[in-house]
Amino acid sequence: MNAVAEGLGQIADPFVLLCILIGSLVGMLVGAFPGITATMSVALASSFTLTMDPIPGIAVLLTIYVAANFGDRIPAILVNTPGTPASIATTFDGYPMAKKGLAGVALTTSAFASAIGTLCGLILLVFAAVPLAKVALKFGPAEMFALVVFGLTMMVGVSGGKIGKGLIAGALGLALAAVGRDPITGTERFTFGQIELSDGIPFIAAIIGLFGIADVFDQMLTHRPETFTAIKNFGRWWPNRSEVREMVKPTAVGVGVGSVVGIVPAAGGDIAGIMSWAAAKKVSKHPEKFGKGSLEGLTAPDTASNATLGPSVTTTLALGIPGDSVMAVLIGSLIVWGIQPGPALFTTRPDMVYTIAGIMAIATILTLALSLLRLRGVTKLLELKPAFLWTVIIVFCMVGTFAVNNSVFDVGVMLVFGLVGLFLRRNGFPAGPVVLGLILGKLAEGNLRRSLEIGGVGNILTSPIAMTILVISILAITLPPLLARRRARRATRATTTV
Amino acid sequence: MSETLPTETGPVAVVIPSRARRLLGPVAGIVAGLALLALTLTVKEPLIPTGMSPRWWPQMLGLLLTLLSLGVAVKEFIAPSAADPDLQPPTRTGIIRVAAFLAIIAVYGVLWYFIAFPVATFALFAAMVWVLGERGWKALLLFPAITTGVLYVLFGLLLKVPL
Repeated sequence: MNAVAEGLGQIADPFVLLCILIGSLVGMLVGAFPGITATMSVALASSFTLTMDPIPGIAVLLTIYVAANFGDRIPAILVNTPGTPASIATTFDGYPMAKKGLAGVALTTSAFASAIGTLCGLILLVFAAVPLAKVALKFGPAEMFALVVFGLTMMVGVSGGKIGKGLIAGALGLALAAVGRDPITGTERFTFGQIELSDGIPFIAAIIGLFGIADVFDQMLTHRPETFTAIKNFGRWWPNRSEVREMVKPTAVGVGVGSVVGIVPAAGGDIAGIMSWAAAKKVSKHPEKFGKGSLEGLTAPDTASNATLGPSVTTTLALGIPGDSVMAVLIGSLIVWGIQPGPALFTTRPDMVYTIAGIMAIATILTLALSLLRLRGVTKLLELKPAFLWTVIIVFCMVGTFAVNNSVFDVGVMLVFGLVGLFLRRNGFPAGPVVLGLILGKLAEGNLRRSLEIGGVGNILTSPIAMTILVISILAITLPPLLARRRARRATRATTTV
Repeated sequence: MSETLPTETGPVAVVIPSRARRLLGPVAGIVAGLALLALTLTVKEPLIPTGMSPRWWPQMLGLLLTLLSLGVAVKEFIAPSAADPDLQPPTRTGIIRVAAFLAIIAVYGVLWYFIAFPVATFALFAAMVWVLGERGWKALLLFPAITTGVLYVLFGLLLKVPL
């Protein structure tokens, strides 16, 4: 009970509440702009929140994370463009609904589905985080190393059909993490006499470069002037009673799928949304309506992608393995604040669970209220020229990175990583595994070496937990291509038979 | 090479990378892996020998990076050219704009040392917006003035960053 009171007491501070309000507004806005992802905005915000105390800083970052997952539904419904990848599945039925003159109902339904999803996910955070951390606390170096491999392979496994390139990206991230002091002996490696590199490559600068600068440069490279017509006829705003009843089953499907996907390291709202849309279609009485403006088809993915948030935070903070790419950025900030995510965090400071859940719950309710305001003005916002957006992001990235350590060197690192990120992106390499490797590299190396020095390879091979995790990791990267090949072979066989 | 693919929302331009273009990434990976292997030789061994050398982990990673890149390179060499739905082709204007942005940022880095932050940042915003094709006093004067003001108040005054 003390932990609950202590945890919630930390957010009773008016300054923290103000941070939540600011985070909600910023998150809604960035979510609503196609092209600014939650990862990019949290990376950008982390540069100036690092000068704040940890709790208000965490409040800003987590609130942006929550609110961006509400705001991104607006362009998905009104202009058929997902605001962030998490709302891809929202376009399947949200835009067709808007075209039918039901944009208002779609926006309201989406807001409620998102809120219910987030709040249900938070229940999992409250009840599962401490027990999960207690189990993980029993892990030795072999199990911790296996856990890092698991996180990396999961992120590679979900990076589409580019497993090989994902693995290269992960290895590159681990290699970059080798810069600085060796975690066991303290020997300097690859610092080239630069004192700024002795603690390793600055996380935040690298993350902002890879997600912020690289993304903007990529958009600048490929941008073609296009005209889109946003839906102007919003129709009625509130769903009627039969529509509310229709939402019950897909909400349940969404919560179930989102909770499971969210707890898996590296799998985020985009995957949960698409999986939940498919699952809801299977159990629906009217699957033929899916993709043509079905309320069920809108509710299920929106609930699911938001239900991943709580479980994702659980995995991140209880195990130290990022639940998704936003969480990878959050880990970077937490480490700078001196908070090391991992099993020890929640067992020594259980109040943190309630502080985080409280922040996210308030953010959800606040963002729901913001979402229910009549959003006609948003259409105008969606027509803003990208030129203004790009310049603001780039300059904020530069000044924000400078602000972390008052270091021009960091700004240089950020720009270099921006170009590296652009090269990776243009050549089909995902940036997520690079960041994950960079953040978890020292943990992986330290635990593997400790484990090998204690009992050799046998120390890993004889640990049932480590071996189970490693086998799942291998399956995570070998199964998807095998299944895809099997599906392709079946499809070819079916075509030739016809 | 690029072509347009029909989608539900209209035609979308996609890249069909040539073999050389597809090999660029994996070859860069091989170079990075070999460079890492070479660089590990510069890492000093501790005076008191420990169980495992500080060179061991980067050497493993260098080897892993090289082998993985080699595997992907072979795959890309054999595989036939196909459209990559995740990649949009760059435009000529886009390439010029990115290059111009990098040059402007470099100049800004130098300017920041010599003139006050608000002046240098105002000039930076105006130059960037100009490169992106915006004209008129609102884009070239009002927008840079407002955004520079916001940055200065947020970072300089509220967060006390020595800009």
